[in-house]
Amino acid sequence: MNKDMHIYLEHLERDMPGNVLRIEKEVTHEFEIPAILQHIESRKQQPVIIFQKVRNLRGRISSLPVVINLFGSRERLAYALNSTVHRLSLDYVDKEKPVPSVTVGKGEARVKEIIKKGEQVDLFELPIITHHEMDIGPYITAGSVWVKDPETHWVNCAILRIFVAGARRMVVNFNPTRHTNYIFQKYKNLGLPMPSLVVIGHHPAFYMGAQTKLFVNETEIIGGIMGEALELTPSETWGNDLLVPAQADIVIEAEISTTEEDIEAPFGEYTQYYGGQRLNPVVEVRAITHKRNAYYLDIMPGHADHLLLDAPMIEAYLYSRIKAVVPGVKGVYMPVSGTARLHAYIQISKTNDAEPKTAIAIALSSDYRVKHVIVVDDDVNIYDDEQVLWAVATRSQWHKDLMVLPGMMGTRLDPSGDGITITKGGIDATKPCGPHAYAKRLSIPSHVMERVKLEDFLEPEVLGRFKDYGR
Amino acid sequence: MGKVYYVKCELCQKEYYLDQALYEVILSNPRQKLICPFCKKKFSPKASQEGHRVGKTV
Repeated sequence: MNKDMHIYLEHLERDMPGNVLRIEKEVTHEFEIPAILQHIESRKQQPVIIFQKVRNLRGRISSLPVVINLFGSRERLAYALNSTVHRLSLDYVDKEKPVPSVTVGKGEARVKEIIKKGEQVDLFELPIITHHEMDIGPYITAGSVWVKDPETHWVNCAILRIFVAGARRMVVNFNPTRHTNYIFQKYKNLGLPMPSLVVIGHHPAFYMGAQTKLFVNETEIIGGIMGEALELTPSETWGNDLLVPAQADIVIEAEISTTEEDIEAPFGEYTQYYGGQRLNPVVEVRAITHKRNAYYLDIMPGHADHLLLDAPMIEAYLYSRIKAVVPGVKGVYMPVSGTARLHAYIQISKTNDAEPKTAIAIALSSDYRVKHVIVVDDDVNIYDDEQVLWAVATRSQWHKDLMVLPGMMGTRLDPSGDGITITKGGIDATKPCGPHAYAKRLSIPSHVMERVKLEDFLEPEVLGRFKDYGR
Repeated sequence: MGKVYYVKCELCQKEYYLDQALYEVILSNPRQKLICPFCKKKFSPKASQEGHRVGKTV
């Protein structure tokens, strides 16, 4: 049986104690869970939080506890892939290979333990959260939306924001540049609604696999990232024509209308602004199935939980594309300071002065969201904003090291753009290749650094209080 | 997103904003209703440009 979110949490509590916080006190679905998370984050902590008693939109205590901030730590994402913080995107590249899925029967599919169809379906029974003050209402934020291409039969997966507008009615948002929209247009041309699944809750490796940037049958990439064939089982609505992940916590089976739109948003987004109200496709729910002990997974919009999940996949994709042309690329990092989507830091071991701008051009054109790129040498730690900005400060002259590309495709969530195009740019913050010598970085003799131990000079109680000493 | 278009809910008088595509829809279709994110009620915005404060998000 596939590993799932429950197994992940159990192992996390065993191997990284302190990373899971359980709250027994009752909370309501509106704003309280986000408020508690924000208070905890203000103390520079990022645990997974499990809320055991959540009052749902029907005013009742939901049978499903809420899990939030599952993805709020790069260490935990690395743990899910048996990797490290610095190797995460490189290991992702290695694992991003198709592994054919396997189909299992209903008896082996824990997601089928509870089945509700038609009039039995009531989305308001789920503990769906309203996150931010100007959000139009409750949103499903950890839904991996699966749609099947009617021509290739490949399944595309994307985490999309979904407004819950009624007991069996939702409104979904997807960017025109996304693969989901590409498939949506095919159903529109056929005059048919688009069958879809909203998968809520699974192992983090499942989510990371589902976020692959490759345009392939993504259920097979999920298997590659998980390190095991993904188990699928027939859906209640379409049977073998659309299979659901057998060990997911919750699956909502729904049809996305290609003819009807309704009001959606405002909604707080990863840019940490609200997107404006708009019209988007209506979704009619046909069935909900879930585990008997399912958790309802939520992703906190605009916070680390939201920003970090997609970053390794974008890094992996950019790394592969750049490596094909600039073999000396060492690493790519999407910092949280740039919403983990808009900024990219690229580390290269340079052999000629054309490589940085080539890497910039590839990065800016590979993902519509990447807006600013900084390229640094391999002596600069790309996981440290201060180091990268130091490189910009001391290794760039913008009359020759700056690239500016107006009129490019960008995210419409960027409030500084015109809604269609944005200006992208990059900075070459690398030292020039020879023959001219460059100034030498400061250093303390390594044999002294190795010999001097803080424990020999500071009392243990002082060392224990180190976090209280400011800068 | 670019320019956003503020509207005032006729019922609770609070302001929020639309994206450009929806703003153009309500200018051409006076029957299009909006949903106020504060009071959660549907309302008909004023269709004229005078009813809206146009500008970027602050």
